[in-house]
Amino acid sequence: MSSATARSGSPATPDSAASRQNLPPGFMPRRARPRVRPRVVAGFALVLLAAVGAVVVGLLVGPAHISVAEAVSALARRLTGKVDLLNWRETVVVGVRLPRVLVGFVAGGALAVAGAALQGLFRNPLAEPGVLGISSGASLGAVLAIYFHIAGKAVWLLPACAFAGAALDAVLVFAIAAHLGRGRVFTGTVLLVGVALMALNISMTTFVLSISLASYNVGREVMYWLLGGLEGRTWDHLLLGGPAVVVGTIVIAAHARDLDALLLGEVSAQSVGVDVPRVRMRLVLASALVVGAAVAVAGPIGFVGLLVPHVLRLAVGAPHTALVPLSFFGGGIFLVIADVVARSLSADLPVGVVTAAVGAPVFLALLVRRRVEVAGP
Amino acid sequence: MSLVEVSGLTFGYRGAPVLRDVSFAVGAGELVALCGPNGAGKSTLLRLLLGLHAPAAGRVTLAGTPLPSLSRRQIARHAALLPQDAPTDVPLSVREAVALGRLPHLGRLQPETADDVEAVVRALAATDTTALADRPITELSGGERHRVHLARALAQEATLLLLDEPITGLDIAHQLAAMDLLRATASGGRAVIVALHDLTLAARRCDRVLLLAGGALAADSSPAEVFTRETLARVFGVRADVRLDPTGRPVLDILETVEGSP
Repeated sequence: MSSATARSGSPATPDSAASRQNLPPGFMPRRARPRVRPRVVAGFALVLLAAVGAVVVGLLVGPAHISVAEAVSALARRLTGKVDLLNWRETVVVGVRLPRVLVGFVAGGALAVAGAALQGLFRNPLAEPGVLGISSGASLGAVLAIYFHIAGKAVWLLPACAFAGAALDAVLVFAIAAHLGRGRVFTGTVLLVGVALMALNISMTTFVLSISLASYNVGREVMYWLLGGLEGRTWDHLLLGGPAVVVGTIVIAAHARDLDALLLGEVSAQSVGVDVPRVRMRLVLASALVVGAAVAVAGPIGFVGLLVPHVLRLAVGAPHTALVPLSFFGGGIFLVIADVVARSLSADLPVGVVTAAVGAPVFLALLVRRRVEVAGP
Repeated sequence: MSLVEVSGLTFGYRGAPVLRDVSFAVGAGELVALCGPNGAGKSTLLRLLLGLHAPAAGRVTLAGTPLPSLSRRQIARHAALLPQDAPTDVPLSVREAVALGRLPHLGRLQPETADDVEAVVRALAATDTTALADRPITELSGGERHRVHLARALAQEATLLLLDEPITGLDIAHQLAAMDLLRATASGGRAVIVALHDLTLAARRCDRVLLLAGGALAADSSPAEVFTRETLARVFGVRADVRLDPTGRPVLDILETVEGSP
């Protein structure tokens, strides 16, 4: 449609039938169909392919050499119920690598989705999962579980304690923010309370770390957890973190258009029917849920939540209908591949080191080339 | 039936009264100017009509239904508000921003229908922004951005259109075009309430003037009855010549501030 045709169109009247009759012959809005942007479709296709690719690579790479055929047949045997317990390759693929890859995918996806939601919600490009103070709460829970030797009693206890820490922190943040706002929760207050609790959590975590250094093993385990890693992650971790991440991600994705509307400012968002206080509450709670679950099962992994949404925004633009689901897959792929790199470099290099080592320079490059908007509101 | 009815509306921010006992009703087809000096409560009144504040007393009724019994989404299908100060750093394209006007008509995960796309196309054409459709809002001039926000409010297709200073920052041609557009919108069966600082334009283009002064409704009548020398001096503190053109509309010539006024 050319601008010349459009300019000659008569002013719109609210009655659509009437205005259609008033339009000049060359003007045919009927041709307009729901637009699905080709870039977004291509992006989704690419991302789904890459996700499958990343999982396959994650299954194949490691100290034990396993071919594609062996991995596929091991998976097929498990799926058909013909378990071969004596086949060590099957144990490595299904019992060790697959849960590790899936936990990494879910955690990476969760961090990126939360980052995308929080950057939109706070209208701040530097918002990331840490700003709610939730991940530091999870860290404190995990570190206490290790220090008091709770973590050793069952595999699921460490992530459960971390999740409890995150949940307690979220409740505290909201209770204090609601108290300060006389019953209403304001995003600015949530940020400030989150930052204050984060400082408190970090100081307590550091305190536990310093006293745990008295024992080499405990100190090493605490340190290792704080760096964020996927080593030894099991199906228990996936069962604990997975459902929370899926639920939170669906809630965030369902509010994608509300996030777009919030970009126009609070009053405009309300004008187009967004119940801003309620939507903000839901989005912050959903973000807290996915971040708590992700940090509980994978440790405090940095830069995924900041970097992935920014990179994807360059590819598909700011609208959250595409950005939120793509962030889930993008974050998952990024973390799985970073874990493969970590495993390949050294047997016990935590994946958090790789995400930061890759993420920070990439983010800086984006900043320098001004591809990431630095000016906040 | 009135599209919006206000009775005894009273409101204050933290005890400081802003509006006192305001009552009026606006029906389909009316283009109403909301005038008054700075701080008279114009923006607050528009927000109250959208239910963004809870009134201390009185009530607002949209198309026969009291505001408190409507959800935010239902309100959005009845009324659209174009706020005065929209952010300038919106990282969306013009089309994406205008399409957000369709939000109250869409289910959470429902894709846009052909009707939604058409409404956006019409709103773009009506505001002369079709050529800008695929540009990022951040690259537009202030006036262009203003028209984009106006397009968003039109795309919403609400029966009551509330606009807070929609022509401030537009060049004179686009100011007149915007007022013509509001006129056409009202004539098409909607009600339009527009807060205006430009009294000359309000007098020339609107059917009716709501004049707010000190939080109270000082006048609610035709431009000819509201914009008199006395009222302009009393409410705005300006000395003006007012004459009527052949159609009976007042033509204002605002000369100077009255001694001792702001």
